[in-house]
Amino acid sequence: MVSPLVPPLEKVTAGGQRYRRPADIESAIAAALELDPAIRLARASADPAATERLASEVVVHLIRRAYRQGDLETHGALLGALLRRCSAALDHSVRGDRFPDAEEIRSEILSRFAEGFAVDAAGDPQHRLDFFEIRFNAAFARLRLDVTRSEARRRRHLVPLPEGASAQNDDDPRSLPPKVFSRPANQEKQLRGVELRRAIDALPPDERDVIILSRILGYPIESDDPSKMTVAKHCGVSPRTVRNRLTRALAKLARTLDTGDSP
Amino acid sequence: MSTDDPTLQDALDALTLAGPHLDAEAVEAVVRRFPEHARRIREEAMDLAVLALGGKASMAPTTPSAAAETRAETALAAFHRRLDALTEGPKDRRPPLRASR
Repeated sequence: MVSPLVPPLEKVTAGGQRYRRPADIESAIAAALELDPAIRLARASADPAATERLASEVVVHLIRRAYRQGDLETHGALLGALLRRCSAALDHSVRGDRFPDAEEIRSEILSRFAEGFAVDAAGDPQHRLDFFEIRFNAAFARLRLDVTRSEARRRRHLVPLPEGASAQNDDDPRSLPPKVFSRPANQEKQLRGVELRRAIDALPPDERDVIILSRILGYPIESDDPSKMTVAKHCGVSPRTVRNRLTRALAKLARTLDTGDSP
Repeated sequence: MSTDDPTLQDALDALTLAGPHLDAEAVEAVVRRFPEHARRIREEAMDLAVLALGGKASMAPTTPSAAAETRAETALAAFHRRLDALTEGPKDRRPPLRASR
């Protein structure tokens, strides 16, 4: 049920379909609009652990709404609160051990995010901020990826190959114990996921690509069906080369995760 | 915000909505809708898939550091500069550009 207090999003797909917020976000926005403005601001600025803290999707809506209503004081206060929230998250999502100029990258991401609000305020015909009212974390992650991707790729070739990595190993990786991709439960799984992510990010680009395509996304290495996308096709190499890369990558990941080293 | 090409933006939005745990089938479904952006969609999917590995642990909010506060102030200044550039003047001297909705 759409609240009459909450206007629909304006962004429309190329196919003419209007973007819609999830129902829980719509309800949270409607509830936030019922609050006293001072309480609303306090909840937007609340500690991360606070249960009454407003979802980022809701805060984005309130910021845009305040601007459109000419309430610049509220707009500035809410935008400041959201920027502090995102800035804090960037402290650990853009890590100094991976990016020597991490602080510069964090600032670039946050400034681009803030500038998105300026573009929106000036009347962005693409309504790009609409997506931040649907799935904020994913939208912000994409923005972060845009900035970090080029930096990561520029640096990845500098990562030295660990000792023992053989370019001539023709073992079929499908026969290797899938230890690094086992599925431990809950918290342990999350922590293992973070370690695995770091280890994958430290791989050379060609090995990283085959690991992600084959083991995480589940693309086949090759296929008899010419219309089917495969790892070999995406990487522009033979299936044998894909298997070699996969073997090397799995061996490195197993070593890294077994020793508990964080690359 | 991440691209100026509207159809690419649509494609990346569709990909994001297909997550957070993407697989080849979901990615290729988006590629079939936006074949002109096939390579970019797959590359984005690869990055999103790795990002999702850490789950909530990798997105956990933290208390702002001193550096985070400074960064937020810098970003707020960037907002004002950009808005001034787009609207040719400080905002507080003009009415809002867009009507309330």
